[in-house]
Amino acid sequence: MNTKGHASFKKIINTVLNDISGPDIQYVDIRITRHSWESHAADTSGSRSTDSGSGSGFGVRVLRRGAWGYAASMVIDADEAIRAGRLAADLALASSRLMSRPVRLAPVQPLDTTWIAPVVEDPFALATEFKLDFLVNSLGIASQVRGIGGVSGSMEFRRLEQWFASSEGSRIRQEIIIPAFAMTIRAGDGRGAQTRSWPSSHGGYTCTGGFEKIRSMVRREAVEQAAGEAVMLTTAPPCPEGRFPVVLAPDQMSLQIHESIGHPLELDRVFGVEANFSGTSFAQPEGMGQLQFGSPLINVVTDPTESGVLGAYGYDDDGVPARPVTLIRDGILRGYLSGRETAGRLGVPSSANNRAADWRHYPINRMSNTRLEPGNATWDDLLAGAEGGLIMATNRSWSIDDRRESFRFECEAAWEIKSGKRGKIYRNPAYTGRTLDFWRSCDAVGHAALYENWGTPNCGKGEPSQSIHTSQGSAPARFQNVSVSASGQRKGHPHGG
Amino acid sequence: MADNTGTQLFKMLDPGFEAEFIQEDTRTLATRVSENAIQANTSVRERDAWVRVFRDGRIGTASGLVMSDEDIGGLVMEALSDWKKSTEPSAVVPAPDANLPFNPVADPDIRDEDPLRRAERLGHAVSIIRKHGLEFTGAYTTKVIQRRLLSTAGADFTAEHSLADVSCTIQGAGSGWARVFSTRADDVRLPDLVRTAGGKALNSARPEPLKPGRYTVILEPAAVGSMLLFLGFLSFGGRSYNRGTSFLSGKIGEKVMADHMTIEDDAADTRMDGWPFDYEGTPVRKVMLVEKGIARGVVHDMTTAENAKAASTGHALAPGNNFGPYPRCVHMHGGKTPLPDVFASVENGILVTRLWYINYVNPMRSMITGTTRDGTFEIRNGKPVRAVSEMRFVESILEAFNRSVLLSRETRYIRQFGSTLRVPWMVIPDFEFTEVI
Repeated sequence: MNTKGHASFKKIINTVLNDISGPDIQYVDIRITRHSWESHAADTSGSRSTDSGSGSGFGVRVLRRGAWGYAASMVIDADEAIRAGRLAADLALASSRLMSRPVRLAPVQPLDTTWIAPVVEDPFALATEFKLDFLVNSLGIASQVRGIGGVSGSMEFRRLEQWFASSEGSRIRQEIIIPAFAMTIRAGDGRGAQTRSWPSSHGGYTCTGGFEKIRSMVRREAVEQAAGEAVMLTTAPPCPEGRFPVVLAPDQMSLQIHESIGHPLELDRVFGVEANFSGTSFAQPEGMGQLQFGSPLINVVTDPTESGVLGAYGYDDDGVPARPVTLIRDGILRGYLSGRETAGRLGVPSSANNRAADWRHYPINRMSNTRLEPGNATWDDLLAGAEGGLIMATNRSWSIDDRRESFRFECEAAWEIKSGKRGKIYRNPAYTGRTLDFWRSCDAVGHAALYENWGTPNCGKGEPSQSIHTSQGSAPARFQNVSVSASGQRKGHPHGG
Repeated sequence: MADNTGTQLFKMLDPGFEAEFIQEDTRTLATRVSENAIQANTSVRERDAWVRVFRDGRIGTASGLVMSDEDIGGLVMEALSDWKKSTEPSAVVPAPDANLPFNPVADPDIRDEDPLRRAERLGHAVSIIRKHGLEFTGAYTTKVIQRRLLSTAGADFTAEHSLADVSCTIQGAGSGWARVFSTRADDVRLPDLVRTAGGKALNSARPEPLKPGRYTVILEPAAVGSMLLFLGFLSFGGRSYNRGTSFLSGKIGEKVMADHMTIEDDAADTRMDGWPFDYEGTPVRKVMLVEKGIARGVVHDMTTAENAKAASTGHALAPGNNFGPYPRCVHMHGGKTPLPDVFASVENGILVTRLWYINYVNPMRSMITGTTRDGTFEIRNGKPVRAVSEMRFVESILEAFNRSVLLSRETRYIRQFGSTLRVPWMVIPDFEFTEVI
């Protein structure tokens, strides 16, 4: 890396902010980011690998004549920063030639501060062999279960550092470490093969913190249970089809919240900015305070201040301090995920959700940590109201329309609910629904002791596409009259025309 | 890059080591349009470099930014450290000198494009649709990429190319979409693009729901391309072939698709953004994947080629990737039927502009789900007659392609997920829609 640390960054930042000025320049900011990562992978055939890398770069964002320009480079020095800053100003001028309304930024109090996510045990300070052994030993727990054909797993650690400075006076440094642990347990073979992802799918367990988070998460009995489920799935019957009460486990609730509450409440999407790619939203601002998004049990906040979760940060990439913001209260739409530009357009304070994936990208409205507030139900309560229904856990696949009005999710496993207890296991469960009908059908949310938070490490949005990390928290919740099917079956639908 | 980069790199190595150095410079100019206005202009300058060191059948790899001799030294040290930790033999060897099959050239009109001029062109395009009460949302992206590969075994390859990719969604009471991709600026005709998407937007107002079920569909190239891409993820690379999860696994020379299916990877097509050499320095080969329904091959890098007892086809991705070799320039051959006759052949059916949010339902059967989007019309007697509500589909890609009854003579270049595809329009009977969305 050709960067020399904080002192040189301060010099670059001041150089750029002093260089880009003029009567038609309304705002300038610069973000310098650097990241380092290491990944470890292993499987029970004896394969072990380790990889690592690092990268850095910066971007300058200029608001000129009411329009944005952004220029980024991975060469971090003063000359390149001046070049990029001037280019960003030229690009903003070009943007202003085709403008519908000048950008109006919601106000923010400038801050000179540092925010570092708490870490007890720095994973980068631990020996590679120790980490690989930890991974291999974890896989070994699963592989010892009778009937398991193979287990593969990975651990990844990322350190992200960012310096943000704006022409309004903000100087903010942030640092987080993201640990991740995932395991895939396979049973059976060929078309009958089944897998259980542990502790969950799509990246497994991801959060902010140190190795202590991984150490405390890996528990022998939980791994053995997941392995046992993989074996049972190979002979399990397909999921029954029809309309049932369904209890979703927290890891599936996470993606359900992400896709059908988080995305439709991104304010840039609501305004149509994403119409060409990610899509738009049914949740238009006229519905604020009116739209019955869910049942009265649905209370949702965006909250990057929740400690240790993947979506945690101190400030967004507009320099706005993180805080909990209500999105849905008692089932009614109350707010959006916004940045200074979109909040300014709506005439509300920013929710601190303007984030860029890295230095290559300018910030757009993104989820941080979206939380369904816990309710009062115990597990027994949840099951008691779902007799004849199903529990579903761990997402396998999903698809959702571009206005976020309907969805289809598939899970790794389902269990029947019989006599108020979890019964036999089913394979290949899937459910579909319409967003508002689904959330309105929620008639129980688990209590705080059942709450879990799961990370989504690679949420895609934007053009050029940006992949960013978010998290969602929830207790298990119960929904009535859900359309359930067994995935992967080609059915005998009649000809429609 | 300095001409003496390789010399500097190779001097640092202890005797007995061989090495390879790859550097890629990318300049991107992206313009995002929303509500008939430029939402942002962005420029990104990237430089990625990889060093690989080789000795005793093992390799070490490092990646990062190289701006100076000091940086090269740092990468070499990292690669040597990685080599010391490596325990498994590698099939990858340093690239020897070779004749490259073609030499792409960057279009100066892309390289030197003025953002102010782009804003004017977009303004003209907006003026065409604005008078109809429509709004343009989209992205106009150009890239110029230079790649160089040097090795102690004698390779010293350089190539540069450019690409332009514009997609737009035009919205009023309805929504229409169109996209153009090329390696040449001249092929990007914004007025044509917005007229195509704008026409669909005007015609798709007040869509009416159809009953879910099986319909004959005409898939436009973007929809065909999406399905072909997802089939390719599953089956066209050497890794899935070797694992036995590709529908081509163990079936080379056998009938695997319908007779009218011919699919190849052709990086030399000048409208594709193909490279003459891959990230292992292997000159790229044209690879026939399926010829008239017969399985002919898959693409390989050095690792999958060794496992398959074959030769690399020059399709290695960047070092450190977990995907294995992949074809980035896939061409599904068109048929003999002119496009008007393709439409005329469908008495009752549905025209699909593009597919959205595709995900696998059952990968072993290449079964996917997704939705239609931005221009779905009922066809009666060969003509689109009314807009219909968007629908969810569940289909096996392989089974749907094999059921297809017509491919258009005309083809289009489609850009999706970093790959370029050349595909025709396709008529498929019994395409399964499971619900109205």
